[in-house]
Amino acid sequence: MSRRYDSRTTIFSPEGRLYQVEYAMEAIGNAGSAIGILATDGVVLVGEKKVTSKLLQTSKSTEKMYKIDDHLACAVAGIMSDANILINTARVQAQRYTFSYQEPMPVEQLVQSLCDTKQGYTQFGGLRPFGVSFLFAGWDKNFGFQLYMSDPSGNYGGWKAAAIGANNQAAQSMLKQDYKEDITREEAVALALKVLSKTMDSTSLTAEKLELAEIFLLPSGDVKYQVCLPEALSKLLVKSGVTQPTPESS
Amino acid sequence: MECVFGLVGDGFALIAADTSAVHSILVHKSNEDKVMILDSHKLLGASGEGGDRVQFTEFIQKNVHLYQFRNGIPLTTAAAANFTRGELAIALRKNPNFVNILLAGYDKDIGPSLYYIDYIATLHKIEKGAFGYGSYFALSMMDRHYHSGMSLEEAIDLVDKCIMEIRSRLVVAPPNFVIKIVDKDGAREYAWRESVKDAGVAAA
Repeated sequence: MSRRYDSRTTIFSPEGRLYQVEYAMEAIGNAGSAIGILATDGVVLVGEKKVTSKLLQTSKSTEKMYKIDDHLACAVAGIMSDANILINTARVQAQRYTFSYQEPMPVEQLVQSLCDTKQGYTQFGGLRPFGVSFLFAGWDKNFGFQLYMSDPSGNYGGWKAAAIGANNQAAQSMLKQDYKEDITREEAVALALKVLSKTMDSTSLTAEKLELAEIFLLPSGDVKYQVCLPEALSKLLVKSGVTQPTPESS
Repeated sequence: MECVFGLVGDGFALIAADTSAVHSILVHKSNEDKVMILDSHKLLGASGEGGDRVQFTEFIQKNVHLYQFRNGIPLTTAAAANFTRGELAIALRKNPNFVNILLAGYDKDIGPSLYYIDYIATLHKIEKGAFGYGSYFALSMMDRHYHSGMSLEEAIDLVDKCIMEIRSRLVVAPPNFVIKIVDKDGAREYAWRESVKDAGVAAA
C-alpha cells in the first residue's frame, strides 16, 4: 500500500511521511556506528570501522572521520560515496565563508548550510536523498565547543552526546545514563569506547576496528583536530577496560 | 569635494563627514547624512558618486542585518569590513561602485577599530584616515596632533581642527559636517558642525 508513494522523493504519503527519506535512514541503520560526546575541554568522536584489512593504508585514509576546516570535523555513518560529496560541499562552504569574512565559519552555520543542501534533495529535483548521517564537532568563539547531529532529512540538532549508525538507539540510551555535565575529554573518550564496545556486533574490540578523533584547544588558542594513532588507541582500549592487555609474547 | 575622515580613540572610534550634496555647480542640500549607522555598534562613512553611495551602503547594511537575523549573532567589525571589500572586489571588473568607505566599529573583545576601504577594494585597518580633497588637510592635522588612546574631548578637538583647516583652506569647502561615534554603548550621532544652516521657508 505504500509502494505508490515510494518511488519519488518529492511526494508525501497519505500518512504524511516521506518514504525515501525514511529508507535513507534505514540504510544508515546498517552502517558502522559513530558516537560523539561533548566535553568541557573538547569534543570526542569515535567510529566503528566496517572495512578492516591489514592491507588498508590507515595512516593516509580515514573511513569515519573527516576534517572540514581547521576548527571543524565530522564523523560519518552511511553510504560512503554520498558522504564524500557532502563533505566536499561542506569544505567548500566553509572556505567560501572565510573568503568573504576572513574568519572561520561558525559551527552551527556550517551545519545549517549543509542541512539546507540535504533538504533540497527531499523537496525538488527528483533526486534521491543522501544516505548519510553526520556528527559534527567543532569550536568557534561564539559558543565554544559544539556537537551537532544531522540526518538525511536535513534536520539537525545540537547534542551533548549522540550516536548514529547501527544500534544507535541502544548507544544513545547508554549515553543518556552515563553522561555527566562536566565530563572531561579524557572521561569522554573512555565513555565513548565503553559504549561503542557494548553496542558493536564484534566480540572483541581492537584498535583496527575503531577510529578516534578529538577536537580541543591548544595552549596557543588554536583549535586542534587530532586522529588517534592505532598504537595509542590500543593503549586507551586497555586503559578503559574494554580490552584485556595482550600478554607479552617472548 | 566630499570629505570623510575618522580616527580611533580610547574605547571609541569616530567618523566625520561633510554633509553637502552637490551636482556640478549646484548644492542640492547641505544636510545630507553620509555616515550610516550600519548596526548597533558599527558606522559606515561613505563618499562617492551619487547613486552608487546610497545603493552600495544600503546593500551592505541590509546584508549585515540579514546575517544577524539569520544567525542570531552580529558580524564582527573585521568580518563586516572584509565582506564589504569582497563585494567591491567582485563588482570591480564588472560593474564597479565608485564609493570610498571608512568603517568604524566596536567589538566587545577587541575594542574600537577603523577600516579604510577605497573604491577599488583596498582594505586597510587603520588608526586614522581620510578621503576626498579634505584628506590633504585632515591627514596633515592628524599626523601632527593624533596620538593613540585620545580621550573623546581631545579627539573632538582634533576633528574641529581638521574641519577648520578644510573650511579655511579648501577652495570649494563644504560648510557643514556631521560627527558620529561608536563605543561600548553603541553607534550614535555625536554632533553637527554647521556654518551654513538651510534657511527655513520664509513666512508668507
